[in-house]
Amino acid sequence: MEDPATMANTVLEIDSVTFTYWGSDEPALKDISLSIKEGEFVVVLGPTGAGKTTLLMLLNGLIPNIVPGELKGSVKVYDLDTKKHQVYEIAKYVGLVFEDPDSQIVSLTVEDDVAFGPCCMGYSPEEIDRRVEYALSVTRLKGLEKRTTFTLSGGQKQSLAIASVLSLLPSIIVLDEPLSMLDPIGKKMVISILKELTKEGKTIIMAEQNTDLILDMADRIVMMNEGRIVFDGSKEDAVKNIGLMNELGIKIPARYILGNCSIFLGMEEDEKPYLSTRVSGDGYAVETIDLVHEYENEVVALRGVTTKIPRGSMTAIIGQNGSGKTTFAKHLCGLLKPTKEESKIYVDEKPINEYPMRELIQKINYVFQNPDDQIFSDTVKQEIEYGLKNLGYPEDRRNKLLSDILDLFGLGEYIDMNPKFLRRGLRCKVAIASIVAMNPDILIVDEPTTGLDYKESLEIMDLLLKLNREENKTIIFITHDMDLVLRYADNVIVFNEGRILLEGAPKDVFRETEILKEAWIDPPEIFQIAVEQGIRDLENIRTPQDLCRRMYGGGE
Amino acid sequence: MVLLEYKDKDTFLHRLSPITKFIWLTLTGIVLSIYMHPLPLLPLFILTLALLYAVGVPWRGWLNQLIIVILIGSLSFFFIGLWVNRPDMFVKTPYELANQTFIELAPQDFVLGRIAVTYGGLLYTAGQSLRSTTLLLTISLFVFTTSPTEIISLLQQLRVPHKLMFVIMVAYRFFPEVFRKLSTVISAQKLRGWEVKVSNPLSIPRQYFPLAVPLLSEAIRLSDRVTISAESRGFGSGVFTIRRRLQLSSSDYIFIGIWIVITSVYIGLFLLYGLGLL
Repeated sequence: MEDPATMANTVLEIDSVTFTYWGSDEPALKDISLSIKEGEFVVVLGPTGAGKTTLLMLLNGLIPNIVPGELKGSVKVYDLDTKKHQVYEIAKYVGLVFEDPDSQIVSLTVEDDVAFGPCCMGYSPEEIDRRVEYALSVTRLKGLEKRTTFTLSGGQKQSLAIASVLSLLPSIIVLDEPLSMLDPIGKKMVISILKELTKEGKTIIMAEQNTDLILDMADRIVMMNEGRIVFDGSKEDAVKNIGLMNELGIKIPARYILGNCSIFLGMEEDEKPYLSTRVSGDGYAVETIDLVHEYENEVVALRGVTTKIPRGSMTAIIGQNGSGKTTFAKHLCGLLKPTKEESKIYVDEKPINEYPMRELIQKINYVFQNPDDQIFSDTVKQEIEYGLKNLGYPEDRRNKLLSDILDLFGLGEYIDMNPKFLRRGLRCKVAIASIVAMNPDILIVDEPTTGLDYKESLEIMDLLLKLNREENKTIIFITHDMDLVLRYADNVIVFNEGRILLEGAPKDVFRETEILKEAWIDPPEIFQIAVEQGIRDLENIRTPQDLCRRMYGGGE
Repeated sequence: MVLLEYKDKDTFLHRLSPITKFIWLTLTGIVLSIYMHPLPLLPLFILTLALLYAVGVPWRGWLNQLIIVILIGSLSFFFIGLWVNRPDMFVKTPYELANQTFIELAPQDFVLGRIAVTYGGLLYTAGQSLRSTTLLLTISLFVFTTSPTEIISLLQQLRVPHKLMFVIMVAYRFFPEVFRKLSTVISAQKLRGWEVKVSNPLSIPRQYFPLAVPLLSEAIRLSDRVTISAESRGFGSGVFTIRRRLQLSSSDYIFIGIWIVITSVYIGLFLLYGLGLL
């Protein structure tokens, strides 16, 4: 039989597809048609729940072969009808990479994981070695062949996930938000692999929220909403549809905003308090002196961290994975203890070891990155009340706090729903609400926007800002998103290799581009443009609207 | 669990082929399965200790766990030993000696039979404890010196069905992840005031719900993801290539030879003289 890959210029053909997941009443995809040509780089954009992942799972036959549901219409990969062919047959032509690299790696060493696919196909050992060699070289993982997979960084793991599908030599690579869980260095690593694959003429279909990183590489943009394709065209046409992108909550890269400021300034935006009110209280919420931590595996995570976090501030902690951010944050709420006797931690100007745990968690608390690490109750109400019950609050006080928190977080309509079945953005809100209910003065939030779309990210950050401005909480948030740092933080701490590299106001920190390079951090694009344009009062440039106003709507 | 962890080192046992170590494990298992008496097992136990010393196991961590396991095991065998007092249970030990009673807990006509602390029962307890400790140490030594990848290669060589092998590989791969997740979930719930109260023992299982539910949800999500990922990479096609054939070196042959001799001596003495029977 002739290799289907050589037969046609159209490599993927989706014809009038409607798909409903088993157990659901509402179709996840509604009458989708899409045709993709060989060598195209297609970026699929849309909010969470738009149907992007479902669309991508159609492309290698996971739907309908593995994921149960009702599929109407047809999907053809070259000439293979995915209804009539098994996933392993289609895997030779379509490689699928997911957002979470950890759950895609099945083997114990890098080399074995890359070889897993070809071994499953029954190729000869010599052929497998050739394919492994090729995949490792494209993804720049050569030299790490024998490394155990759980010792890799996030970026290396995602590179490995790509290498593991590349070893099957597919001509189509499908990626589902592969950058969303990575730090800046990891993102750069994956982007450079994608550029390499483009050069090789691979067809790439990629869903992504990080539009600023991938839009320039795209030949074609597909925008989805509520299971339908609402835009399909070139990126030039896409950025002319700023209204639609904004409506769908898709992040518009600053460089595209500048040329369309008139449209942008015409859009309505809710009044946000952060535009004018920057307040910090007196004194320090947290102080650390010579904080050192060495893990049992002899990894030194903190190497003498001395810092003060102003009371009432919105403090961002940034840096690569493994730079010490989370270890630092866990010390502040008593989850970890320093391994050097001389290290000191003060919370609200009192040594942390003088607080009993129950008192400490009402003074400073921590929201973990993944809301699913804490959610266990059957209803949102029970989940939020859990901490309050443990602290022994009487029922009337619990009810009052619950009602306040539901109002503050806008969770009233979900009160009796099972939080485990809410979408991720709402689960994040529930997780934060359940901690805020205990009324800590200082709240640490670890990567609160991971896995969320742009609109949801802003919603969560606006909530934190509201807590900061209206409830006078000190907010410490860990993030990899520099746009959020610029927009929301009034104090930034940059970690690198267990030490503080820089700290101060965003406008001062982001000016230190050379020092930031040591931590692989680029200042946000808005900030870079503002500097290039010679804008002087940089502290007032936090959002694209600020930039547009300053450049076209009066000001300086 | 430190007792069953691999450590990447360069010792003679680490360098041996997993096939060799598997043969050694099997031969030791055979001897331990037929010998009941503690005295002839002592040399084997000492030899195992010598191997542990030679590869430099982390004694501090090992001993903490080993003592607990041995104590629980010995207590269980002691409990069973309370009933080991019938004449047919002893071949080499004179019944008068075996039946020498230190404490009688229940007479012969008791509904569960005679229960007593006897010389024979103690001999049984010592033999069983030594057997199980030697077996545990041998398995731990095998795991300590054989990387998970080598174990997978060994299973491939032993023609274990590749679907079962995949399950073992994934279990190895995700075990540390699950423990990490457990630690995160415990921290997250502690920060919401979670603690186990022992005042009402009946409520203790319920108090673990805040840990169990997130952990279980993660396990289900992970297994879904792994299945989808493996299928997307061609798993399920019905074939599987064994990429590396394990080779034996001269030191492997020497080591296997030594253990065949040791095992033959043990089996020979057992067959000829009934050594090892109680």
